[in-house]
Amino acid sequence: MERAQQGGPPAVLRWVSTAEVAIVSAILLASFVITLITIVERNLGHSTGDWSLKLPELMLIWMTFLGMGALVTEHGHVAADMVLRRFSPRWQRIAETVSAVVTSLVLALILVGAISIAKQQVDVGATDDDLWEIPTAYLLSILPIGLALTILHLLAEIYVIWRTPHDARLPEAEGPR
Amino acid sequence: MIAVPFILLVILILIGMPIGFALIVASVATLYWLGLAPITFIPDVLSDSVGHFTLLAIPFFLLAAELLSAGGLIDRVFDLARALIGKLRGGMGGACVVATGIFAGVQGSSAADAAAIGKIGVAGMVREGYRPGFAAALIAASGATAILIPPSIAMLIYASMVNVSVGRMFFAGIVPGIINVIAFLVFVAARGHVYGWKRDDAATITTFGARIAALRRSFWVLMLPVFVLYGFYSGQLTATEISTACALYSAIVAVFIYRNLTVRDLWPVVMQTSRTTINIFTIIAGAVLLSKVLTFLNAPQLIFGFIESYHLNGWQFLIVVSAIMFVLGMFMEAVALNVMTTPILAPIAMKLGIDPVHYGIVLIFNIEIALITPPVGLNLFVLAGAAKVPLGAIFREVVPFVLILVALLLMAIFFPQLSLWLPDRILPAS
Repeated sequence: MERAQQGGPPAVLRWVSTAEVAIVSAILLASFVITLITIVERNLGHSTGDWSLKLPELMLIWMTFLGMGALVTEHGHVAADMVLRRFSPRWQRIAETVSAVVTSLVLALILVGAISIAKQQVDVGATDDDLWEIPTAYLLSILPIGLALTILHLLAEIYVIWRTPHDARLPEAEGPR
Repeated sequence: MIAVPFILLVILILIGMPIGFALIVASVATLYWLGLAPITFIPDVLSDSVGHFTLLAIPFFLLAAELLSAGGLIDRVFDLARALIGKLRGGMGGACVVATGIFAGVQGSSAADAAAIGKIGVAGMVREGYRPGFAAALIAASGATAILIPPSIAMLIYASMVNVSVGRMFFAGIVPGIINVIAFLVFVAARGHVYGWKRDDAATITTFGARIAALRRSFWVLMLPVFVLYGFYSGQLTATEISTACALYSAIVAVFIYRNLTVRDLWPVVMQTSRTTINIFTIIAGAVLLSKVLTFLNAPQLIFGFIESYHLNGWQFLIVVSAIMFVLGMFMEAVALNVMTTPILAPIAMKLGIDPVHYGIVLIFNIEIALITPPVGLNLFVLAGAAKVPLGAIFREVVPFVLILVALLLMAIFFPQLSLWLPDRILPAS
């Protein structure tokens, strides 16, 4: 938070991360409503079909991958920074940069795999019968999208790390960020 | 070879990399270095690991807890605990233990429990002469009981991975959970006598009438755990459905009964729940990937070979597992510890004839200990942040609580009936 105020993430990035969390929240509410409908329908002796199980599962995947990047910008991921705090400001920046670069590279590698899976599914023309025969490539498109967004957030984070003044580096309290 | 991902993981965590990402990076690096799997394997595992209907119960239980917290639950629970326990010596500390215990009964996250009670509890105890470090350590430790007392997110994750009934796990946590709370209460009272701590100075809240009033004020909150357990007992609802009903119930209580929230206030609560959910699920995805890597590295066979070569029986195995988890728990986050070790160790436990529910409770005690063991004890960090107490002071004061939990863990290992008696009577395994 502090970093956001003192030359932290650019306003547009904060807006993007808030929008991503808002979409995740909307998905969460939708899965809540679906599960409620399932309970009510079952108690009335009706069956909602397999989609009511499959769709919330898919929504969990969407929530995770869509929100992963937003939490990078918001510093919402759990991290133990007590060793990092013992470093000088310069080494703190270096460690944080290494962390962001390594994560970006690994996620880029996974992104290649995710794109390759999507391509295979498009080539085969795979569809999900439980979810109204929607092409599987669309349903799981959140994997490449989410990974790409997370990489963008990480790259922006590197920019912020080097742009932010020394004394506004980390929040005061020790512990998870 | 098994050490490779762990060494990488510790280095990454120590340079401040988010734990979920550290798990993913350590796993991918090991996979590629050793050429263990094709490139498409990783996104497949990451998406499969979070796409489970049972896991949907996690955000809904979190939502219920957020709603009740935002709806003024904490003050009511704290007042009730003070009314019940305040008259004892060291009453404020005892009230904090009871308040975290009650709050654990309505939500399943230990960090949320510790943070919620930590803000008011530490200030209250310091005012009455407790050392800040001790006050923070007490709440960090008693907050950890949230994963033992149902509903528990850690139990949900374990049950979904081992295919054991969530209801049986929840019932199994009740007796050890109550013993845990009593153990902390006895410790605080004993220490209160030694140090001459005062009884809670708010004498007015410890009259009989005040106790009844506090109970009435908390009635709707106290109904939530009853509601959860009845849902499992009836056998009519799944864990996800019960969590959905809990979230709806909490919204109704917060908006229409306590009237501390308006409909407009609900959206920020949902946003906060989403953030916590993303955080937990990123760690789950990373930890599942790491457990797959460990399977590729033949970790289960190696561990089983070790057990066979030393002819370990059930309880000896559980002690070895606990020792390993104690070390891992110093550096690993609770969800990661759970997700990473369960697929490897639970099947071995079952092969040795250990009931999966009993193993689950032993695991939960180990996770509880991990939550308060330095250097990476999440609850200690939460309290350091929430109550503004230096970490070093909490580290020193938390030692007795770790020892109490180790004693309770040994009790859980040697007396499986503590965990199995209640579920065997209420929800016998089919």
